[in-house]
Amino acid sequence: MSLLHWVIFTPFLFAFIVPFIYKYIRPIHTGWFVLPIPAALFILVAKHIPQVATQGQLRETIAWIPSLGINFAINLDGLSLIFGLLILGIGALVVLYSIYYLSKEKEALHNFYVYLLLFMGAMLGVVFSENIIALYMFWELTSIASFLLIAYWYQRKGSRYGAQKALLITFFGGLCMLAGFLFLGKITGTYLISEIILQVGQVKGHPGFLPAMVLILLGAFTKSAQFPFHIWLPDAMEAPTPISAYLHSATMVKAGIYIIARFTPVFGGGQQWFWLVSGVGLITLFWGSFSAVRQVDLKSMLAYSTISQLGMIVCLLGLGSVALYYGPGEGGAFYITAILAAVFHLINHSTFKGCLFMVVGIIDHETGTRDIRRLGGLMSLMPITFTLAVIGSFSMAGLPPFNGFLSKEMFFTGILKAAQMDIFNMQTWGILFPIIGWLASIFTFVYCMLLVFKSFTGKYYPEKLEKTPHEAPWGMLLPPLVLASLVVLFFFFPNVLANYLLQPALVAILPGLVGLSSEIEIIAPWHGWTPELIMTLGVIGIGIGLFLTFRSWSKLYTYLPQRFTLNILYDQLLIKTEDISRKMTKGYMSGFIRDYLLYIFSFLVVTVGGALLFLDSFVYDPTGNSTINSYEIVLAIIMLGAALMVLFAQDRVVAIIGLGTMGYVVAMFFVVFRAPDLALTQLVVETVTTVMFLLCFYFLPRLEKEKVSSSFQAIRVVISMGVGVVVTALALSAQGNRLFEPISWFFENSYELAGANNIVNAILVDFRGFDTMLEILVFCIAGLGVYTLIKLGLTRRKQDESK
Amino acid sequence: METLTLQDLQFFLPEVILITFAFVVLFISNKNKSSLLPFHLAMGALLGALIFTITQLGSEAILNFGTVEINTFSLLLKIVFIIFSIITVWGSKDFAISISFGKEYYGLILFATVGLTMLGSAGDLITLFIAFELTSISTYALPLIDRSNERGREAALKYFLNGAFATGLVLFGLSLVYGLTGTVLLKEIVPIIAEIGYEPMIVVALAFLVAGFGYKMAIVPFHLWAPDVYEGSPTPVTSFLAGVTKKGAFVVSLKILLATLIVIKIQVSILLGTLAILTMTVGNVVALMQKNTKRMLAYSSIAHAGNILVGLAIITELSVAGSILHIIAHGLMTIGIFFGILYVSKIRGGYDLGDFIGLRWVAPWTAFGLLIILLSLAGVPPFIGFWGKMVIVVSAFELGNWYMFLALALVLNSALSLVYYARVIRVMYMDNKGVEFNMATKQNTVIETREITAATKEIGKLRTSSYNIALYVCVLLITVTGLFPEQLVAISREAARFIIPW
Repeated sequence: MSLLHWVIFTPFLFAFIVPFIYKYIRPIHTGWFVLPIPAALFILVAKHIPQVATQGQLRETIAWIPSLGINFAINLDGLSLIFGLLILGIGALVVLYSIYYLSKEKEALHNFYVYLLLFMGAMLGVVFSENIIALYMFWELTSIASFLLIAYWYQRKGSRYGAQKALLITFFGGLCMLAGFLFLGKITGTYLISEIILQVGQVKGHPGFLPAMVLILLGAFTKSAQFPFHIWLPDAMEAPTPISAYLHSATMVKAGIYIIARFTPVFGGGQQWFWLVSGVGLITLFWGSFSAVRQVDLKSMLAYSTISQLGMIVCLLGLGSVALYYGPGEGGAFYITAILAAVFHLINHSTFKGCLFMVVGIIDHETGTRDIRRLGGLMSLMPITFTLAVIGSFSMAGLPPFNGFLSKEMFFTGILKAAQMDIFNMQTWGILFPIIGWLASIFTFVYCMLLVFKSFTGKYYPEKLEKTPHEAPWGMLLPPLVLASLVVLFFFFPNVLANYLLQPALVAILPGLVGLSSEIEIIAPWHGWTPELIMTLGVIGIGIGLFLTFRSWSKLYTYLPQRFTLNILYDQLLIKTEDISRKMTKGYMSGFIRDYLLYIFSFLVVTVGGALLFLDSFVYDPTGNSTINSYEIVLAIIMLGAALMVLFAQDRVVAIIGLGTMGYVVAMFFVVFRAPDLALTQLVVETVTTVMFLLCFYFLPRLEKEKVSSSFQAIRVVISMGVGVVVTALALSAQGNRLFEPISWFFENSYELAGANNIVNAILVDFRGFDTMLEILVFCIAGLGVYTLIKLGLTRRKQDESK
Repeated sequence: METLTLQDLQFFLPEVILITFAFVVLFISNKNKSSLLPFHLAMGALLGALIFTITQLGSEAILNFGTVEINTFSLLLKIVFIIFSIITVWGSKDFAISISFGKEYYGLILFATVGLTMLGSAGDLITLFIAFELTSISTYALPLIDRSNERGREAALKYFLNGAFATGLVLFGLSLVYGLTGTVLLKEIVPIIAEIGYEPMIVVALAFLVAGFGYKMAIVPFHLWAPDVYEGSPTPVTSFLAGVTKKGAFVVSLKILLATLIVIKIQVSILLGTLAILTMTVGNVVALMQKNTKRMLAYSSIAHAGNILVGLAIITELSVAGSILHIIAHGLMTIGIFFGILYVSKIRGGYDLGDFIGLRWVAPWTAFGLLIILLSLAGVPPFIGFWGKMVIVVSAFELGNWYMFLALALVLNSALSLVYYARVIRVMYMDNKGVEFNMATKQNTVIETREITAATKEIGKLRTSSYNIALYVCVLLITVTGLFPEQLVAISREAARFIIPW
């Protein structure tokens, strides 16, 4: 157990203590006890920054399931370090924020913090795990924690719906990812990421390459809310705002991005990866920002904006993967910058989006609503919040002097370069990248402006609000303030970040192409009058125009189809499965054994008949048979007649008599074949059973004509014919197969071996004496059973009498 | 192969203890209904048997002319089945007092346990069959053990009729195997069949065996009795049938199918694989609509039978280990969840989904236990239910080819199953008032928050009920083995090595 293992386990362990703290120390908000955990762990992990920046990575392993080759290995490199710091840093801020956001009197705080800590530990596990199976485990745990946190305000119907949706979609994706991991494990024979990366050549040539890639990407896309799986994220906004800020913008939804980045060295460099990743990212980028504009709920707007920003990062990662196609050298140098932009924007997004979510939380907390139609004019009432909102959304819109500007410029560079690519069929389609990316940026600008100016400027309507708004307490302002100052700081000193965090991350994403000491491009706000700058100016110009004329063109959205959205598809999918399920249940779970027998018999007909038919098992060997004489023909006809009588009988008694007739005819067969003892036995058994049947049926209700559809009747006929044919064929071929000596040996030697003239006796008491003894035992037990039944009946009668 | 010596008798000690105590339990006085003596005797017998079995762990022996084999496989299964029975007996303490046939209940469970412990160690077809039948016959009466339960009659009759029919099919199949090979010893059957080579009759034998065992394992299309029986039986009995005795059928199938069908491995794989996919899909799809949790779990357990069958269909050492692991996992989960449901039905009056509304506030620990078991059933890590599926899926991936589709079907079915497991979780944890499952006929579907607090006080007494103890024990085992699966995985792999004949 190394220190890093403890970083993962501490939140889990503390999660167990939280309920007790909540129970016994009520006067103090539980959040104060939780706060030191992420803060201390943050410092602990941050201490590793210089070490990672110089050495590249740290590895620790403990044995876990060696018999399956699964060990709990931990890898701290540049990429996981960034994620770890985000998880813990923003985690600490969110806990601080939640102390003021959630009232200690009204809320079930212990649940909240238990889930939060579970999530934190699981998320750390995802990014630190070197073993993909362990990674998957933590991955699902984050889904569950997210499920519980979304449904934290379980009283709301929307939150239950959203929680279930998020769980189903991400769990489905997680399972796909697991399948992809197992593919990888099969191809490479290892579950360690670093070892998989070493065997890249083997992976690329393998037929399992594509399925593994698609499956893993499915997992990443569902988690990172990429189109068309993004539908769960807006519904997840039912969670308390600190949770939305933490899970659904800063950390959990970035797990998918982590996976894409982590597996870039394995899958990247090919056409499929490039198109899947950057294509899906681009679509998501556009669709997210396009949909965000029409939202009236501030949190929904942020949710769609998160979707869009995640799409942008994914798109950049896809573009950057081209570097692996070119390999080391001049050709790929540019694409490395795309990866740099992706990682940089990942950090930037966490800072400004976290800040914005907290701002929206403050608005919600202070006014009681998040509907921008009811908000307005809050600027003078909440000046600090307003400033924070401006910093956050201007950064998101890509304006200087905020960090979003830098990464947005880098993104423009990326898509412009993509337009000039001459591989992967990009000659024809490449032009779409700058166009769609640019359009998406315009929409991004528009909703950022809507977010700020609709709620903070304009007319103030106190009558529409539930509460009288005033500035939030300092504890709530401090976390977004920290994030906002980072937004500004990163703009002025991006290269400090680049040297200590981004470069080691690049080494992790593109091993072999980037070294710890190699030069990377310096991030700078001013490059001269480049096309990127002109694009930004265009975004600002058109964006302002669209914002001002928003009222007149927003009606366009009402023309979009309402019927065929992905949400309705999801709902219909659930409803349809339930429908199918209901139909299946009704269709065959009738509760009648006679119906159940149909299935069984058809199975036997299919398998046994199939085996006989298709595997040439049917053997008919008439050589040992004696000739058929006239008695036998007559008896067979009688038997057939009796069988038909049973079939068509309207009355039970007739059917029983038919059955009895068949039994007697069998006895006649024994007579014909000169076996009087068998015939006698058969006659006795038949008589007794017939009599007992008749006696029993006396107590049963009258046989009523069943009302069954003719098709069902036909099925029955077919299946019974099938059973008959199969059993006949089986009997005939059992006769035809003779693997061993017949037992006539006993008959021939009975006199010498047993000294007996009567063969039957010799078999019963000599050759199979042990069996006979056991049979006697069986009779004894049966007799005892009968005795008990009689005794039980007698005692009960006595009891009844005494009553 | 030698005759039985006195020293070898120690290997039979667990069974001897169980049988002796089973008779003792049956013959003690019937006067005092609330006496805990039968319970203590049964528990003592099981614990004694468990201790002796554990001390034998690691030894290997072939006894009584090969009819009994002691090895890791048999000892592991003995331990598992005895532990399952211990949990069941422990959990049914309150149940057995409430019925008139309390000591018979324990007696029958002990007899069934003897049968189950013999299953793993049986070395020939006859011993295997007898052990199997001992288990079946002991349990036929169980659904009717509570005479006040009207629905038990239908359940008992259906269980008996189907069981008898299945026995007939199995016997037919076994006689064909014997007819082909001329021996009943599993160890001898393998080389003889290998020598005979491909013989068409063996496919016919396979069909009968699969049909017969399919009944007992409740795989599609032989599963139809299971929901009716599980729903109709008293819940502790359901727990025993679904969680313990049904697992016995898997053990027998593992032994017989693997030993006899070596030459037609591919046909076996195709047949079992098809049945597995059918079983998983039908089980899960039908479970989606069930509003009665007991019935839902009956279907869920059918789906899980499909999961185990996937391991059987793949037929490698790892896949068989996965099946063994999943047998253990599903046994624990089933026992636990049925006792949890029983507790809920005691405090809420039923086991419809509506009775679970707001359980979190009424019985927080029970709700938490059920939550963990439900997640484990859905195959969510880090619980043991995940590892069983995981090992099976890994083994499929190791082989590649069309086995991958089996694995994929298993994975997709896990996703599907989460829909109905999550629904129960949602109802327990999030629904406060009966808004959505508003089944007008049931009164307690609409529960106001106030009523819950009032009810909570009354329930305080019930909280230490034995039903909950069984639930907690299972939850503990599920979590611990889920977090540290190494021991279990290793021993399952070792056990699998003993029954794979090549």
